[in-house]
Amino acid sequence: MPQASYEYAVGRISQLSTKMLDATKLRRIYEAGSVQESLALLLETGYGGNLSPEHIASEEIDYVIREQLQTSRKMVWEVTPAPELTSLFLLEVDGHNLKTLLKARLLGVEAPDVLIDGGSFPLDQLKECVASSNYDLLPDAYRTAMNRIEAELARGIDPLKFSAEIDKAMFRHIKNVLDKKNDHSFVRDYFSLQADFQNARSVIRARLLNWDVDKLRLMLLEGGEIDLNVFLEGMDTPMEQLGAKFNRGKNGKLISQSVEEYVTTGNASVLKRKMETALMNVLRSVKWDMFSLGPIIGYLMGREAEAKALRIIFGAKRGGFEYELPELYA
Amino acid sequence: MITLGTALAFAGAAVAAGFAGVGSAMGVGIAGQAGAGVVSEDPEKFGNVLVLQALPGTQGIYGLLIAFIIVLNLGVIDGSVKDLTTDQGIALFFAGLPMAIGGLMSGIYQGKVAASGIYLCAKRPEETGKGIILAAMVETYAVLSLLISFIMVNGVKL
Repeated sequence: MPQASYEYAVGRISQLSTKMLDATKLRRIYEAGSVQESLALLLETGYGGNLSPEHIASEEIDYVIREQLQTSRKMVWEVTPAPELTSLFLLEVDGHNLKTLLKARLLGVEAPDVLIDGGSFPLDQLKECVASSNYDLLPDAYRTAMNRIEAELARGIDPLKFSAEIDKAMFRHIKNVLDKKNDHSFVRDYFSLQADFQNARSVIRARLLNWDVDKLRLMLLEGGEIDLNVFLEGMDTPMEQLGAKFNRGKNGKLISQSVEEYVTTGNASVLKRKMETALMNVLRSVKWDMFSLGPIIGYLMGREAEAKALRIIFGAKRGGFEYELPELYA
Repeated sequence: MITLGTALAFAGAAVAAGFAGVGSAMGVGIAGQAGAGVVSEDPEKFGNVLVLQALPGTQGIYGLLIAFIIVLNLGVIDGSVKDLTTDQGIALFFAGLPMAIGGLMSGIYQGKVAASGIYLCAKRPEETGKGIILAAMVETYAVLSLLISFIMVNGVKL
C-alpha cells in the first residue's frame, strides 16, 4: 500500500523521472531512419511501460503516448499526499472529456476512443452526468457552467461558447479550491500565470478575428493577477501600447514582453511558446524542493510536455518537415 | 526513597536517550519513506538506500551511551542507587541536555539530507557516495553533542 507522504512520493518520482525524455533523446528519435525505427527507439527508453515494438504498428504512436500518459497520471494520483491540489493539474483532462461527451451527445454518436481516463473526476461519473444532463455530482463551478450550457443548447449550439464556458469553469474551480485551502504556493502562481497568458492570447485572437467585447468577455478566465477589465480595455488600445497595458501584477512584465514580441514579429505562436516556458519555469523553481508537491507536479506536467513533443516529432517525421520542440521538463 | 538529586540525574539520562532516540526514529523514518519510494520502482538500489537510511540511526545510540554512563555512575547496574544532592542531580540533568537536543535536531535533519541523498541515488546511482558524505556532515554535530555531554557527565563528582 503506498504511503501518502512527500518523502515516498518524491522517491518514486525521482526514480521514474530518470526515464523521462530529454531533448537529446528526442532528437535521436527524430533522426532514426523510419517511423518504425523511431518508435522502437522510443520504446527502448522505457516509454509506454512494457509495450514491445513488435506488437506496435508505427501508426499507433498515439496509443503509446496515451498509455504512458494515463499510467503517469494514475501513478501521480496514487502517491500524491495532496490530492486536492494535484487534481487541479488534471482538470484539463476533465475539460476535454466534458467537451467530447457533450459534442458526442449532440451528434448522437459514441466517442470512447477520444475520451481520456485519469482526470480529476471519474470518467464514468462524467459520462453519467452528460447523458442525464444532471451535474449535481460536479463541483459548484462546473455544475453552474454545465447547467448554463444545457439551457443555452435549447436555443442553439455554439461550440465555441460551450468550450469557453467549460474552460472558465475550470479556472473558477481552481480559484475556489485555492481560496478555500488558502494556498499561496507555486500552484497559485502557476494557474494565475496561465490565466493571464490565456487572457492576453484571447485579446489578440479577438482583435485578429474582429470579435466584439462581449465575445471576448466570454473567453476571459478568472484567477489571474491582471484585472479582467484591463483585457477588455485592450480591445481599444493601440497595438503598440498593448504590452505596456498588460504590465500589471507580478506576471505583467513577462506578459508585456511576450505581447511586445508578438507585435514586433507578428508571430502569434510567440505567446503560446512564452507561456509554456514561463509555466515550466514555475515548476522548475520548485523542482528541488524535495518535501513538497513541486517535484510531483513537475513530473506530471513534464510527462504532458513530453507527450506533446512526441506528437510533434512523429507528425514532423511523417510530414517530412522540421519541428520546434515545446518546453521540456527533463 | 530516592533524593531529588537522583531523580534529576535519572531525568538527564531519560532526556538524552529519549530525545536523541526520537530524532533518530524521525530521521530514519524520513529516509525510509524516501527509500521505499525509490526501491518500489528499482529494487536493485536497496543496498545503497539502506546505507543512507541507517545514517540517522546513530543519534539514538549516542543518546543511549550518555544515558548508560549516567545510570552506571548512579550505581543502578550493581543494584545500589546513590543518593545525589540536588546540585549533583541538576548538573547531571544539564549534562544530558546537549545530547538530547543535539541528537533530536541532528537526527531529523540528517534524515532529510539522507532522503535527498536517496533521491540523488535514484537519479544518479554512481553519485551515491556523495549523498552519503553530505548526510554524514550532519553527524558532526551529533558527535559534538555526544562529546560535550560525555565530558560534563564525567565532570560531576559523585
